[in-house]
Amino acid sequence: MKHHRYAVALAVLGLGVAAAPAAHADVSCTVVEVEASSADTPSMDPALRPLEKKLKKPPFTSWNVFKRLGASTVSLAPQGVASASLVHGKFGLLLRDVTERPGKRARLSLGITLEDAGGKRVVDTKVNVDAGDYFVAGRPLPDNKGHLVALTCK
Amino acid sequence: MTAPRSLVISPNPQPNVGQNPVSKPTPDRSALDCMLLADGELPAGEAAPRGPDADATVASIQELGELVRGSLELAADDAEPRLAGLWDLVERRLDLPAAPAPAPAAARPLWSRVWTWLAGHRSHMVTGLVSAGAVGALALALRPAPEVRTIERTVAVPAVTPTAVLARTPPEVESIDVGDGTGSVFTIDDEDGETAVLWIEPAEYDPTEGI
Repeated sequence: MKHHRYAVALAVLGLGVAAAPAAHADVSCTVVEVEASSADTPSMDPALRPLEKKLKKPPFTSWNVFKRLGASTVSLAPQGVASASLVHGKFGLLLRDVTERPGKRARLSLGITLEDAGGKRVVDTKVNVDAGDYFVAGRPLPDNKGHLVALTCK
Repeated sequence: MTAPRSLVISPNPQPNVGQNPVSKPTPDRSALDCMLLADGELPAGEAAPRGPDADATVASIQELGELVRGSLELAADDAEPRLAGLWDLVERRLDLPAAPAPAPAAARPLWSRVWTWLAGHRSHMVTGLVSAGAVGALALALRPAPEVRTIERTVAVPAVTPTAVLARTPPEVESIDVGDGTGSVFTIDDEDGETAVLWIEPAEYDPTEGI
């Protein structure tokens, strides 16, 4: 009789596990802040090697010096919000949704905000990207410089 | 008793009339005495033959001996050069030291004895080698063709794990709010995929920002 109780309990527990919706693991997002400028001698920060090929294509060909100002990594659950202080402002991130697709990369829905150094909102956008792909937001800075913020989540 | 027949040697021999011509003459005692007398070898007690026949016989024997002696001397003179060389050779042989005695056979090494034995049986060895070569050549010529052997082996190789190639989806920008500024969306395509670039141009440019 006692064994029957254990069996029923295990069966109920197993049904419960099978019926539960698949929980999404936390998504790790990395924010990289880059300052672009022009100089007689081109240079590329070694820390920017994952972005090197992208930074050598338009519209980034206006500059030839790329320096990484900082980077931060945050872990987000769906509907999770995170922010990161930048040298030239502030970066806000919202993980709106994660869509798992068979045979394809997970699709991430992101809400991104960017403020300048004075706290003024520069942009507020919603984008959908594959996990592992980059999204770059850029704006001009004085002295013909550029301020780039690259984001990738996986 | 019959008297012995005598052989009379005379410068003018007479035919034996009434005698058997094939019978062998018997030497006469007087003839022997004449030859001994002619040679000077007649014993002292013997009586020398007398008479004209005996004198003639002795003279003839002496003359004949002179002739023979002279002939022999001439022959010796002819043979003297050849005999002289022969004598020189004999003298040289006699003057040579004695030849060393040959080494005892027991001192010969084993290989030398084996080689001597092989040399003595050379014909047998050659015959054996030729026969063996002929047999070997026949065996090679008549051997069956080699069979092509096919060996099948099962080799365990690590399983190849298929690499999942996940399809990519281009980035999408649902909405952009840049306030008074303007925004432009670019797409950078490389081997890593497509990258969305949002470029914001603020309406009011703050020249002091970042200073």
